[in-house]
Amino acid sequence: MPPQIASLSASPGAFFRLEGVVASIPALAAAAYVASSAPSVRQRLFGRALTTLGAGLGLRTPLTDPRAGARIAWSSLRGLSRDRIEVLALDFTRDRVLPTVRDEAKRLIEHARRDGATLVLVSDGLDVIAREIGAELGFAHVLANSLVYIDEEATGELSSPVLGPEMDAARLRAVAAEWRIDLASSSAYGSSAGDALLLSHVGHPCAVAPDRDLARIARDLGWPIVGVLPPSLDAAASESAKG
Amino acid sequence: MNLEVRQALAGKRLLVTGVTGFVAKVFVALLLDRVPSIGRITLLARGRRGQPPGERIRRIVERSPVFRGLRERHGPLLGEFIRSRLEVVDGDVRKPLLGIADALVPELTARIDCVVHVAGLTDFVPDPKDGLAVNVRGAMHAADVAALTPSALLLHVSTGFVAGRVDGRIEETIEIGVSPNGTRFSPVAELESIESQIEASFARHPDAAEGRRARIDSGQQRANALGWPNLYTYAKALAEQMIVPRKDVRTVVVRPSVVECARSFPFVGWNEGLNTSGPLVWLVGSLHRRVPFRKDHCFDVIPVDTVARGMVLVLAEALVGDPAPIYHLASGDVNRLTFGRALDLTALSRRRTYQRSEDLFERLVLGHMDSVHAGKPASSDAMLPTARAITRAARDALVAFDPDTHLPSSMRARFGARLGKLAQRAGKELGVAARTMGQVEEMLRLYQPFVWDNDAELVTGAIRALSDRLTEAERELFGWDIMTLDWRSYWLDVQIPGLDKWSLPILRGERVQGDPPFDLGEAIREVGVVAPTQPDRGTQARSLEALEEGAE
Repeated sequence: MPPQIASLSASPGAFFRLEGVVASIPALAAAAYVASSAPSVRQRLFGRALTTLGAGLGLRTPLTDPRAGARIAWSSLRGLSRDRIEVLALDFTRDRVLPTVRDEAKRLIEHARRDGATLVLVSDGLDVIAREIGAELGFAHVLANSLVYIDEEATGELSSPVLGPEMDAARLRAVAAEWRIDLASSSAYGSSAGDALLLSHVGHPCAVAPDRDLARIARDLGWPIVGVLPPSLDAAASESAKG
Repeated sequence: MNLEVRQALAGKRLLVTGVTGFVAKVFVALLLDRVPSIGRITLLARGRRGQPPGERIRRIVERSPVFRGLRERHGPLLGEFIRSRLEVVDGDVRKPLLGIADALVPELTARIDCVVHVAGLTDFVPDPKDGLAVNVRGAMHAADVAALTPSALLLHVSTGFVAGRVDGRIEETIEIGVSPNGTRFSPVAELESIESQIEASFARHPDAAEGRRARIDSGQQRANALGWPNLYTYAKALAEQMIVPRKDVRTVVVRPSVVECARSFPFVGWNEGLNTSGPLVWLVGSLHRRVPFRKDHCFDVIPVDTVARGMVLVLAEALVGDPAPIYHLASGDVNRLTFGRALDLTALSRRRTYQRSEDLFERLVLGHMDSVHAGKPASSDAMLPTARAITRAARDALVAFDPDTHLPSSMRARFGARLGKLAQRAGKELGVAARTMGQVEEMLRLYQPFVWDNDAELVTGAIRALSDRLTEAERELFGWDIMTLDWRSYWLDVQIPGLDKWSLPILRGERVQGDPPFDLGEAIREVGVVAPTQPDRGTQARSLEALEEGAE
């Protein structure tokens, strides 16, 4: 099919970040849960240590690649079977993630669906978790990480390209082309500074309960903000409103 | 050429043994459900505890969950349908001509198209006296009866484990007079020899328990010497060796592997009695953590309804076509489940159950424990025997505790009576624990050939070739579908819940409840006993037509 025809038939999309926007549980919590349910005590302790280290490295610092933390945390699952990882991840999703899905997110998802947008769930967690949540909330596509397995045993590595807290622009354009989504008419919902790149590539960005950095960026760029602001920014906003 | 199962079986008359057991019940129910045009199925059954065989079968049809679907579908018309399709004959597979009264044999055999011999004793360590009588002589008696029927056709249900202690691919063949370890033997002489040893044991050991133990030991030794892991597989193999070479009978053998919970028929998860994986699943849910399995060895499990489908396919082919002599009904060659995977899934399932339990011990302790593979076989793992010895020593010490002699006089008056009672109670508990450990040890020792020593893979080419010849319309009903089984969802959603509901209560000494009573009305016809009063034939014919249409 010629590119111009594909472009003509593209429809608006709505990108939702799972972590922070749809639910409040961070991606690495699942890694910690699965790792601490390994068959042997040694594996559990080792897994717990790696996920803690990964979470530490995943904090936003100028010195580290934000994806390095995820890589280290998920490597704690090395040697576990696909059955164990997927069953535990689904248990985690049903017991811990789905009950925390935000009402605000449900409202935004419903709104986007009514507008005819193609719903895309973006997560730097595992695809098995994101798919389950996506199916539950009616998402058409899911963009998340998958583990590499050899003989149905996890190697501890994530399939490339790894999706980190920051969305890669080239990948975003590639999936938009594949799923025939017109980014200019699309909306995106993020909650952390890592989502700024995703939000900056769509026509209708929106910060949902943003962290301090994303709230500043959103205010500077005039993006709408929904949900609770960080306390300091909330106070500043009140002051300026009074002034 | 297409195989049309319903056409092949329409109007056909079968004599089926072993219908009080797990597999035969599902087989008969499947036939009644999916081939309502079958002619008549004569069920061989024994009376029990004063209950005549006809009443016993009637109770099974009225109460067994296997027939639940038929009861729901046919409602009050089920009685008519059952009476038109089933009849019962009093018999016992251990006796010549299956114990059928001499006067009935000519009349019965003249109208039978195939004898389906499912009866068997599946205990791994039976008294050889019973094991051989049921599993070897029983099969020979079934062949004798089949030989008297016009088609001289016998469908014999054996086991995939007749292959014995071997590794690798097991073809669908039999070599008469050759044991699994290559020893040449005469099946007839072998049977006579082992039976004469059994006979002699009664004279040598007047004590019944001692005699039984001696028979089991010598039978086990003989089985092992020829390359079979236990008396069960030895006897089933010997049966094949005795009946397959016979020229007066056309024998078709089906060899299922480890038969487990139903995938869909009669309903998801159905199981009956204690099968192979029940005790293993129980073990994983207990405090025992080290399971001596070889992670990569094949755990060849097959759902009971898949076995029943396979039997129906083979039966149809045997009646109208050119059947292969042997059919493996197994999963390992096309959809392999390993012990490692089964253990992992079982542990996950148990963990899920315990973590949602209201019992604190289950939620906080068992819910966080997981089974791990032991690095050595049960026979050389000292942990369990040591734990048992320590438990027994502790029990002995507690039972021997006497406050009057073991407590200083200052404490005796105040705590003596209470401590004495406590010690007795704890001693009793430890005694039970030591006994359970002994049973686990014994179980692991029995299972060792299958879970540790050998890794066999049963080839299933014959049944798949048969299934390929089904028409599209019949594939859904009878197709060999093990390739489509997702082991994870089967194990978590079918097998473990099925065992929890239908099998494990038996291990705990509890009764599994049957379905609510259903009244079939008049009795099922018992051959040669009493002809029940028949309802108006016109009404019966009309209602049966309606039933058959419904079943279609």
